[in-house]
Amino acid sequence: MGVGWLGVAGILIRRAVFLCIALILAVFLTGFILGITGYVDTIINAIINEEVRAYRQTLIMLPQKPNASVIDSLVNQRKSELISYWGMDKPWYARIIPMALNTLMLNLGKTQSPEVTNVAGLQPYSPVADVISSCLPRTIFMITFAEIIVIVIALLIGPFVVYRIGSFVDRVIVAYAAIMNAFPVWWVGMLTLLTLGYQLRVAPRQFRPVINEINKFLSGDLTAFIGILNYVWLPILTIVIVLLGPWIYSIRAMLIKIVKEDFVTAAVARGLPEKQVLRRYIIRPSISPILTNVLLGLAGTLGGYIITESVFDWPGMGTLYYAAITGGDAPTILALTYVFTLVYVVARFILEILYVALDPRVRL
Amino acid sequence: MSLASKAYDSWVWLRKEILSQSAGKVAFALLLALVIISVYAVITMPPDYNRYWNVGVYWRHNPKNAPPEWVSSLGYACVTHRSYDLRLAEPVQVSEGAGRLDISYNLTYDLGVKDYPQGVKVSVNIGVPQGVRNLRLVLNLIKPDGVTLRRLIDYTADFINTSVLKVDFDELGGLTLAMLEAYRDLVSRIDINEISLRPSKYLFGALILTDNREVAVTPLQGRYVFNIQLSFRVDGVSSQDILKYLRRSQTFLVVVVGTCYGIMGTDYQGRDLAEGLFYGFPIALVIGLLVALISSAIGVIAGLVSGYYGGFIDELIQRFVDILGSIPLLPILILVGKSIQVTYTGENKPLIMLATIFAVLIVFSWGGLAIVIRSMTLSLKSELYVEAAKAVGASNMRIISKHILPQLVPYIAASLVYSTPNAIITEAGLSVLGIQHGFPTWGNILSEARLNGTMAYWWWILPPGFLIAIVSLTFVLLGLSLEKVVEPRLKR
Repeated sequence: MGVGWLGVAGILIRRAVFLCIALILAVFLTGFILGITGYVDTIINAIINEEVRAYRQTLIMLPQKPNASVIDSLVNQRKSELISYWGMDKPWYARIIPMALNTLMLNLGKTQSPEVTNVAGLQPYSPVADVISSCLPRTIFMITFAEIIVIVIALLIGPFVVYRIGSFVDRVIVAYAAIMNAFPVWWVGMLTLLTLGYQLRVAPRQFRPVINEINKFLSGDLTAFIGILNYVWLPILTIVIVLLGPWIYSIRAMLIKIVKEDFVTAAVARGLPEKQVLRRYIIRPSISPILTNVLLGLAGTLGGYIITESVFDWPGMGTLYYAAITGGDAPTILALTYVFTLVYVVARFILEILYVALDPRVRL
Repeated sequence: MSLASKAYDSWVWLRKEILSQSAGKVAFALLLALVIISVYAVITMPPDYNRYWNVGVYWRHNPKNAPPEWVSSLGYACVTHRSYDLRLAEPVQVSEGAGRLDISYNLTYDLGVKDYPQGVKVSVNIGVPQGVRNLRLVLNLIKPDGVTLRRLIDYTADFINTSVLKVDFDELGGLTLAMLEAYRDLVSRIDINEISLRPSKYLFGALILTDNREVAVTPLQGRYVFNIQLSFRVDGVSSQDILKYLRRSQTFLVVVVGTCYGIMGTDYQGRDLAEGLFYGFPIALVIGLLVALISSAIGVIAGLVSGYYGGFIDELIQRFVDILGSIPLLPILILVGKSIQVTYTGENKPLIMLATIFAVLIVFSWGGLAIVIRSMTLSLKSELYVEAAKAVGASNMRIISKHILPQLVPYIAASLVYSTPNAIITEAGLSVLGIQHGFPTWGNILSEARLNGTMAYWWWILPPGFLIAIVSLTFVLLGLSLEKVVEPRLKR
């Protein structure tokens, strides 16, 4: 018994509502953590104190030095200006809640920490949207590309091994998957940096200069692609080495479930050619779990590699996020949490629609 | 049959199933080794070891950034690291005169490779009996070529109001003078500041006049003799008394700092990495198992409740899991960790930070299991024997504990096994980012390698990573062998 088109629409709307709630909660949770721990306040206070100190210093260094009471009143005036500029005269929730709401409405505001704009390669206090849009392509060039390469290879090898379960090739793949599953990507990254970068000196050791190459490439200079490759090959190689094992393994596991089904055995018994059985009876039914893995995996590339990016000091979204946290840059932190969650949530919603499209049972 | 004996039975069955496979055997052996090492570490290491670990002074006698000693067998020229405990050494000469008492020690050191040690350090923390008025401590060095560097240390201490002498010689203050005395002609040809800048080069080097009238210094191999003289001015104290006190003193060390150290080498502060890695075993296991146990327990309870009772509570739990699953864990974890690291200033900071990381990991990691347990409970609930039990009036608790829970054991075990390495790897990743709690975990050691070692020291980066990998591999293998229990169709 099916639910009909109306029912499908109802289910999708319900999903959309809950995904939106998750999105809003993620942003507010982030803001809440920033506020309640006093983290942002600690950092802003440090910034204010530093500016006040520097201001006092410049006053003292003036050619005709004002007397002490004038200096004090000027310094106090500057301090109260700064406090109201940063909104430190209000409690944290009065600052963070509007900020979170603005973020949700895509008014991302301006960055507050030079560390953040440094990662992006922009002027200090640039808009958050600019910072994110300049870091996003760099993450795509490295991590999303690497993940696509892994997925393509895994999709080619997975069906190949599924007929040879228990064979030597299969055992090698399972062993490889188990071993690689045990190593964190970022540690293998440290290892490849150590060997190929520092010992053998065939790979770059600094990755920040990739900013120029990517900027050139994006402004139309296609020859800069070689320059990008020069930087990107090591991180991509690292990610492919580590992720390929688990990916092949999970594709294999999904296909195995189907291979053992009776209808496949029946198809093989009827003497259908291997390719046809594979395409019609194995790939078809396993398409939705595979799609789930692929889409969520790709969505995860935009935010899930913070540690790997920071090991390579790759100026992408992950490094940006960590810089925003160390710099206590609340608008950027909120915006990035928003983007990370949004990408994931959108991917989930696309999957819901694809399930309906791919699985006739839902529509009946 | 009680629940405990039932649990024991399923454990015995699980163990048999796992041990019937080669992956399971390896995993069991590894797990056993991990547990034994961890227990041994807990017993032998001081519980407040992180305090030693983070205090640089404690490690000052060790070479810095030194590879492990066994690299010498790989062809690396290792300068031997030797530490002489004078409390146990026999003096070569003891003489008593009028109000004077002289004790001297000779220590031999063999330099076997063409390289210099990192330095020579002397550490004294001794007590003297009543009646000792003062002490003059002199260190001389007789080089293999017969040259003697005199009074590298020449230190006098009075015992007027005290009977304790605590002093550290991290540098040999008399070196420049000793060099001037020993090699008058040659030293005049070199920059005298150079001597205090690179002391061990001149302590352990041969000075040769080259053809173009310049001085070349090369490592001088052979046997060195350190001569330490203690001259006491005393009133009616015998040498036996003094020696007795010396033997009982806190520290009396002469250290020739080599370029290799121990079985795992040292880091930039001279910390013995073998100790840190050893201490990391129980911490890693505790982090992994605790997070896995608690989050699995929550997942099981939530899944059971959700599946068994259904209705409103089911909807609530499922939607909550949905929402939690959409919030990215790592960014939140980094944020929480960093916030606590910066803002928390109270005592027990390492513990508080670790506990917070624990809590966040647990909150975000029970959802997956809850979904699986719920769907299994749903299908088990409608089995005939459950209906029958209900019909004869069995309570819900009894049905859950006797008829449903035992069937879920393999799945729960699999989830436990798979989530254990996750927590360990995540904690290590946070440390690598710089969110450090202060315990010498493997991740912590890795992070210091990254932040202070410019990534060039392999003995600092490889072992912690391999240990993390071995622990994960143990649980991955365990999971692989459980998989065939959970999914019997995979068996061939």
